[in-house]
Amino acid sequence: MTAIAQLIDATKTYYCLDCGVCTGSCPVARVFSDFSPRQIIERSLYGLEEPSDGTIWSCLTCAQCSVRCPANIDFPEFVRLMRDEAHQMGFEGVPAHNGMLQTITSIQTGNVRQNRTSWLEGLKTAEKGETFYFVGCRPYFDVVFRDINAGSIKGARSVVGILNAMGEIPVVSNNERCCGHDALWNGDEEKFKMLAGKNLDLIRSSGAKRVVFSCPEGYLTFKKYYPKYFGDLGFEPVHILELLNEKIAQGSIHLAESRAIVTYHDPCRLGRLAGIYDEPRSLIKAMPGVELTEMPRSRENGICCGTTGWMNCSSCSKAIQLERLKEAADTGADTLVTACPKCQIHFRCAKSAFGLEIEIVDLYDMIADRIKSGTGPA
Amino acid sequence: MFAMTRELAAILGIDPSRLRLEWISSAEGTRFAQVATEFTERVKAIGPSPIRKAA
Repeated sequence: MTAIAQLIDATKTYYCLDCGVCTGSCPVARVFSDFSPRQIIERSLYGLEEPSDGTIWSCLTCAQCSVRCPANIDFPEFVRLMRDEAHQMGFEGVPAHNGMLQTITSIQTGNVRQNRTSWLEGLKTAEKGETFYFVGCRPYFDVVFRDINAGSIKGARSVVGILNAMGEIPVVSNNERCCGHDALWNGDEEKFKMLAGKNLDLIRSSGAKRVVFSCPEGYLTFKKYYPKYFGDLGFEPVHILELLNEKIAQGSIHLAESRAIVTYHDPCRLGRLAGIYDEPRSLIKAMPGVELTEMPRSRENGICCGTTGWMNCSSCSKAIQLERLKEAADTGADTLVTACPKCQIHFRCAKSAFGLEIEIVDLYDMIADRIKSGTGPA
Repeated sequence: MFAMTRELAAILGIDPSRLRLEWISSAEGTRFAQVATEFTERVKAIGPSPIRKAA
């Protein structure tokens, strides 16, 4: 049995009806006619597909196809397994930014002593405790994408500030590693396991009972893939949106009034892959003076930000981003709110490349800017 | 790009002085030898890189 035949079995791809809803839904296929999920699947079923097929790296794994598939075929998982196979045979996609971000994560598989918490000044954190805040790659993104004003560290400061206002003093560690999301989705399972193993050792030794995430990729990876590879974690991954909505509903956090018309972009990891659609919206609606207007393609139909895993960024990515930002502006909103540091980077890149007016704002920056003083610990 | 790489190295826990940028023209052979020797000595003095995978 060939490797592709095995992954057809594993993902039950033989149920494909050949209806083409996947390709019809795919944001990449719309701008890059060589890429077709339907054809990849058909070729695989007829034994004509090879892991050397370069188009498998164009998939955003955004799950727009799989949520609509009448046969419930998990195409992103199919592509992920195919990339595993391709990677083992020495085939890779084209890393964006000359592979800089892949190198940064590779270095983190070793015994490095990072200095990744210098931005915490003025915020309350602890060495050990019940709650661990998993920051994610923001300290690196902030440097790499400074030219497009990524604002990644501002977002991390906002999250710790919000946690402090909620009365939480989280553990934030210099020894945190990349969660391994990109390695996993780019077929490098070995690298993923090395990074995940180091994170699990670190968090378990911190004594944390729960790990708070603001990054959708980190949350999904810990929630779904760490247990899949490592079994019981010994702590609970929690998204900050769950905690925040609870505190706001209880009335223990107060937000100042500030007028804005915003629209919300669903990150694929948070929405389609983790099923979190309502929480960010109820948070936006809880901000006094803020009006939420929806884009035609939202929630399950929200379009991807154009690049995943720092791979295959191209003119197609830019076309997808430009279309999305136009869609956002057409709602009458002056601001596009994102809840993912990578969506924010991709949209700010497109904004600067095309000279667009619309503001791209991080959801947690919006909250942190509005938290009334005196509601948290002094 | 060089300043960014130094900054990233520092976050990764790699001594930024392991990186050096010099522009040397093809006519400056002596200068090239001098810089290469100096930098080799400097890196030797710092010792093995922390990113070498320990068991």
